[in-house]
Amino acid sequence: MNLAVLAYFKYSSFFVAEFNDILAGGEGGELIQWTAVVLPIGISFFTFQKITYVVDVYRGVRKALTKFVDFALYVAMFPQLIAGPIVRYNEISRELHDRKETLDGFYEGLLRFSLGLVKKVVLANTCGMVADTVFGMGPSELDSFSSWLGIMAYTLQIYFDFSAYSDMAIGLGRIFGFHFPENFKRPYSAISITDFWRRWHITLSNFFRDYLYIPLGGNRQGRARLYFNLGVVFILCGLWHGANWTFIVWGLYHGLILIFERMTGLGKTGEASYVALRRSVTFLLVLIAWVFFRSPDMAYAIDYLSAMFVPSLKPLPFELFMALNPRNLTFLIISAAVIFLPRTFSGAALFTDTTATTAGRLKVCGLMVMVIYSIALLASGSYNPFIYFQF
Amino acid sequence: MRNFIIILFLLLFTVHPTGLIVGVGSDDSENRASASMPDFSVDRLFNGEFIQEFESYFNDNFSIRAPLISAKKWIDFHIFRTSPTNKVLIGKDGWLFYNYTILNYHTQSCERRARAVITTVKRLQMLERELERAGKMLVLTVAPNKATIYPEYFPKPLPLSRCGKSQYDLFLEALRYFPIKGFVRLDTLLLDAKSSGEPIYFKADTHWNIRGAELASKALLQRISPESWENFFRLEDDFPIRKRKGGLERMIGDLGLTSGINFRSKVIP
Repeated sequence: MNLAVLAYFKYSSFFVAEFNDILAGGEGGELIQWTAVVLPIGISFFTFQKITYVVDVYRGVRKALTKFVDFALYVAMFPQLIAGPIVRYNEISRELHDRKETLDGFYEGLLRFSLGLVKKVVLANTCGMVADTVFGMGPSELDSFSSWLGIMAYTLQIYFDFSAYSDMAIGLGRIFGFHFPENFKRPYSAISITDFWRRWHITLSNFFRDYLYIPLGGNRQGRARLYFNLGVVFILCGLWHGANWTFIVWGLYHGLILIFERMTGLGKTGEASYVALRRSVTFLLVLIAWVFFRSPDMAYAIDYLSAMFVPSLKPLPFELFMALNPRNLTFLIISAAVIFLPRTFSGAALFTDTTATTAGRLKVCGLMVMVIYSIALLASGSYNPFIYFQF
Repeated sequence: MRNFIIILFLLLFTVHPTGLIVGVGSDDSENRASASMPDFSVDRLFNGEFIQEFESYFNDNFSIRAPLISAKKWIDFHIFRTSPTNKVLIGKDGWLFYNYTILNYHTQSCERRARAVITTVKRLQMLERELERAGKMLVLTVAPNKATIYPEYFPKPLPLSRCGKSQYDLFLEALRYFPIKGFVRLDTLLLDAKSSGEPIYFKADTHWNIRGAELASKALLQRISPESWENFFRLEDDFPIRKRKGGLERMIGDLGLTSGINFRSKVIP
């Protein structure tokens, strides 16, 4: 039932359009008349949460909630409703009716929320300006430099944007006494795509593992079935991100690499050899995949990849020249540090135990300055000065 | 420390209602009315209009919006040396340029721009012929942009347009094939004057200054009436000087960039 609702709201328009394309290409058949369905905000997240509730109760992992208000709180909890993390029922069932709100928790939550706010408004939005500028141009206008710069900026944007929302959700949850699961763990330091999916959108990976991959048989029914299961999981993972062939290809791309890693053993993360090389190759593979994720359609994605890999040099587009101002360049370079930091580094950990030391207090003061700058950036968002106002 | 941060955040949450009560001034450089509180209806709620309009209302009426925008401008300019608005390009030595006048040269392919320019020139040529038949004269000029006259004040060399030609270059090219007798070329005139050390444009405004206007006016009047043009032209030396900020300077805000410009703009009595 949950999936049927998701299918109607999220995928019906896409499948009807595809079906109509087939009909239009063939000899006959009347096209299906269809009014585009408006997508309810957060439906992908709260649908999955409701599935975990049903399955966890069915499996006997947790008891069903007896109060509607508790169920409503679980499904519609505002901090993580629209952008995750996906909080499984068994992870939070106890805190739905038995949690402690403390000043220490409030303070921790504020710092985590602040970190997310700064990441989103300062870093992600800045990277987004450069990425949007490049992707706003036709691929034929791009050369190798601008296309690589654009996808690099988007790679940083999507990480900072998504992980920032998770930080804010985790922080808000902490303020209200909840402990939401972590969703990101330095994904761009992964040494294989297998490792990447243990670090990127962790709660979604865990959901697919526990509620789809393992029920399909996981790795217990032979290698052929294992590869099939991985393929199914990642195609659906792609489709979960959006109703477009670009997302399906993105999911399939990851699935195929995972299958390759399983076949060759390259996905193992226990060994520490060739870490720099493996990090670089993994990052490059992830970066290429984002081209499909960001492109409006497959034709654009293919042209964009051509611009990246067929060497060319054109005059720097003026729009990009303007987007690469000193401010944006500064934050772009700061953002890019995430690619090179040690695998164990944690931004959130910088702000634990901040009251005990001078360094800790200074870090918090710095964070607060950046919070105020973030609010100023938000307030300036709709600011649009007019040149001839004096006449 | 913990309590201080918590209190700071609680203050941030209350700043909007407090600002509404106290009344904090707004920025007037946008020349537009702030969004008003939208009308509520269930239909408008579900079709998204109410939420969208409420967001605009909240953004425009956020109590400390004006000081926050000023703070952002100050940080952008003084710390990052970046223009607070993407409409203004900050050049060297306090020179400001209007981005759109540059953007037009660079964002379209030359073929498309050239086609549009040739069409325009052909029409102007037809107009000139029609006027001649009626015993009248067409006098035409294209005022060069400040960027054309002062490219050396760009913050760094601008990238070439797709074909390395400005709109003005394309216009001159089109004139070679479709000449207009009454065309008065100003760029060479202004560049000559500039090379003699005279300032021709305002540093913090889009317009030329009194000297630039004088040169352009003389050139046009000379074309209209070669023998008696001086009868139509008189520059008043005693016209009062008004000091005010340039249009571009006002767009980026009061950042102490320049000390204002002297306007003495009356040419023909």
